[in-house]
Amino acid sequence: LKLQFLYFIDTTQAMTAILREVSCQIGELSRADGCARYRHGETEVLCSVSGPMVALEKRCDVTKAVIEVVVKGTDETTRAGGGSRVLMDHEKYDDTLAVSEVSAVVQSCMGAVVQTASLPRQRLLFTIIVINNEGSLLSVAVNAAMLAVLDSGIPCTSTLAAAQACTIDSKLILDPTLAELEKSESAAFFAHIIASDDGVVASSTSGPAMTSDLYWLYLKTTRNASTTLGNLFRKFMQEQKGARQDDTLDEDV
Amino acid sequence: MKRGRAVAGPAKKQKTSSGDKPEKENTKLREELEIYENLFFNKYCTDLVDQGLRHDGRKLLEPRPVGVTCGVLSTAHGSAMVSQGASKVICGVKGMLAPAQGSNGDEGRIEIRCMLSEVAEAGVSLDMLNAQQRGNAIAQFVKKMLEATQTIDCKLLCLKENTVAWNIHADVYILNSDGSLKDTCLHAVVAALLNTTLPAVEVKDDETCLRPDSKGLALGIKKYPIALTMGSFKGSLLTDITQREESLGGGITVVYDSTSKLVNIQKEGGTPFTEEALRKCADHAKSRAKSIKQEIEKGVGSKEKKGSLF
Repeated sequence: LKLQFLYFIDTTQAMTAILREVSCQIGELSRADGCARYRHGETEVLCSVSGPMVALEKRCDVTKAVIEVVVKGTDETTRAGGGSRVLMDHEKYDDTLAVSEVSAVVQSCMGAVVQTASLPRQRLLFTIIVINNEGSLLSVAVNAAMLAVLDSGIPCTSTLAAAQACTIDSKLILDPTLAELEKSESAAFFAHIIASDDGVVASSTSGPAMTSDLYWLYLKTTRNASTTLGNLFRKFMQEQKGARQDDTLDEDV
Repeated sequence: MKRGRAVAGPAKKQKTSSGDKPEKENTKLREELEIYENLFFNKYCTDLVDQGLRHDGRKLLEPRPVGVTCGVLSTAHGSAMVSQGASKVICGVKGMLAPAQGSNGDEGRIEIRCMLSEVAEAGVSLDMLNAQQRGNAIAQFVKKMLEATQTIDCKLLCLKENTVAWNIHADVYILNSDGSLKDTCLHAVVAALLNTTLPAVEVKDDETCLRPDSKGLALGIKKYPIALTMGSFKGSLLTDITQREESLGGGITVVYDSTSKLVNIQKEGGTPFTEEALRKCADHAKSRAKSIKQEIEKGVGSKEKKGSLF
């Protein structure tokens, strides 16, 4: 089942803050319980969720489900050419930390919204495949995981959406590309609960030019972007539900 | 067990003619409290928070004492051991010569590694894969905070352009884990870097040689990050949360630099925070950062024998 939507979203504040083109394909993988292929511009991620299934003994929690996240990049060849062992080790170190960050953030965000208390001694396995990374990977991975959970029907307390932003020459840019992030003076990542005006689930900033006022501005801008994305998620799921019903009717005929 | 009588901390001794009976009663009460705490931790904390207390006897906004000791490892170029309550972390810093990096070939590099000891969380089965991932996540956080505050000038580490530069390796080893690990690891790395003196090196015709008679290179740190982890439970903010309190609703780590400028508010999952709660956390962390800075400077300034660990 493939459903594809392309939207341009313009969320204008005092400065222009625009999300890149968003597209989503839900339910591509038949073996997974839920799956979403999610794209912002050129950054694309495929996320599948399997579970709930029985947890391994050493990772079992008797009070709630355990969430495991595995992150894989499709391009695992090192960019450092030649025979420089030191440079290859440095790249491997940087990539390991970046993958750990994505894994930790997705795990904590999903832990905040999935009703893990109703699934004791179980585990949920998220597999995230980074098809292409052109900036804002954290927010794309979190949104893809959220859509995969919605597709799977695993019970959730709420829905969240994530967005990233950065500043270049004192201008705020939403959903930055890799080139923009490299030039940026500061950057931020936020994940908000969609249905509530105030509900920050995850937050992280970087860059030497961060200030208190800038932090609150990032929070407000990404909250608006998350609300827009939340409406999109709702539309994705409604269209998918409609398409599944049509498929069922076709089978009967 | 009567409701509302949950007491954190040892019960007071009552003076009676026979001293054994109240002692036995106190022991029994303590044992019952422990069982109640372990089985119904959420309820236990709810009762205590209503009285303005926490499970370890502290007030809601009372932090744990911070201890900083520098120069604990004789083999490292710089080292520090930091304790925050029961959380204990040791960090060793070593400089290694490597090819100069950066777009102009004039920068050194800093790498952080964080490992969770197998006995750090005794009593809880430690999944090594999970421990490695957690260690990497903490290492990534520490690295980002050092970059955000520009703690180390990487250009200062370059000995000769396009040839050789210092690579700083900071290895953090978590000896005992009891919550707020991000703070403790960050302070340990900062204290170790402040304690670091790299050996004097001379570069001649692309060959490097040590100059033990010359003065070593200090890292020239002007500002550094200071963190505080807080939590939220039943609408109340808790400062410097323990591991058990983290299980109640996650934590939020606020980072200021040593000049009281906000660097980061790191939140990873758990109970959603409102903007008002975030602002309260930021204000509280700002005032706490000053006392942590004093502890770090006291630890770095004190003369400690090299090789003494405890």
